[in-house]
Amino acid sequence: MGGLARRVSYVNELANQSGHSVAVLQLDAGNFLSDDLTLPAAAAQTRVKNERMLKSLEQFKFGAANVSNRDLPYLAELMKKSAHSQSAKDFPFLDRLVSANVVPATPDVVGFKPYLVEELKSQRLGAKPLKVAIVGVADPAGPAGTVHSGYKFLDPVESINKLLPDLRKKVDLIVVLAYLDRPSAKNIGAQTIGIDLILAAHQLPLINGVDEAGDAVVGYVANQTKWLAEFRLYRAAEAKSAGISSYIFRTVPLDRSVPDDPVALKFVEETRVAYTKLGAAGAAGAAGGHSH
Amino acid sequence: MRTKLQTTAKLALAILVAVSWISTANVQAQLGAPQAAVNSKALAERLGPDDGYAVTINFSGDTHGSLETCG
Repeated sequence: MGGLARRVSYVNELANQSGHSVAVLQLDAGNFLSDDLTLPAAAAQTRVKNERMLKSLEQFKFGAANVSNRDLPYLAELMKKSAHSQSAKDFPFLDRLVSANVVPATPDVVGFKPYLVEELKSQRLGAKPLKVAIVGVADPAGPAGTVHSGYKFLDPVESINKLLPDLRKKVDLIVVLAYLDRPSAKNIGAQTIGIDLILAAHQLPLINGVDEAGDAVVGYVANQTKWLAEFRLYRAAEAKSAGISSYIFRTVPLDRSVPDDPVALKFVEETRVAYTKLGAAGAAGAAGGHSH
Repeated sequence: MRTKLQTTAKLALAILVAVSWISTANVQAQLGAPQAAVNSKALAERLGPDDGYAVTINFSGDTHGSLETCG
């Protein structure tokens, strides 16, 4: 279940089905990188996985990804002030990471954007693009003010509420990526005004429905994305409006029914080769260490 | 006792082989030309109907550095 090759294939099939007349926005709600960096042998492999993950998000045109505490140990290495200039060249997707409540706790690291604005265009949207704000928030995994890997976690609700008055004037749709458990994700909707969609992850079981909280609709993605979570949005009937009038929420099992995209599959296989090679080198190194 | 055990073991093995042949034969019968149609139907179910939606926002989470399929 799951995996990049099936996800890319699913998105391509959707585009084909609609004759390329719908806009597609691919997002990640957080915990997309591994934090297994403590043991040197495992850390080398983890860095390869994470580098490839960041490259894949760029290559397969993801709109944004949300920063969680699990992503920070690796990201903090790339976001160090001394390394950031080179990191930004190596991984352009760093510019598409969002968080409104994860901020630098020291001057040695560069901050993330609190939100991005994407302009979606499609034949079915008509002449006027749909402006979508994508905001990120994450579980502090402790009280507000908790510091992880050089970043301080502020209160998610307060952080979003500071942005909303301005954002509502700028965009047609406000989407929040939330690495939060179900009650906390609902609380974001209940304690704010003007959020349209909250897309939440937090190692959750499969949840086939949505929650309505305040103005917002909250959808959840299951742990490891074995089922892809999807909102389909329908345009208001009034021709002059670019607004969205209704939605449906779906969870799509990424099983064998969804074929592998050949380009993405090659990317995954190359990642596996690089990862395995490092593992073998690590094992050989460990064996050598024992013999001395 | 030892002979009986061996006989029982042989009988169990024979049953196992027969069952696996029947299972394999069943799978083989299911494969072949109609499989493409089955896959196509299953994929269509995953895609759902195209009922005029204008935007799709799909999202992942907790992939934890893995690009692979799982389970």
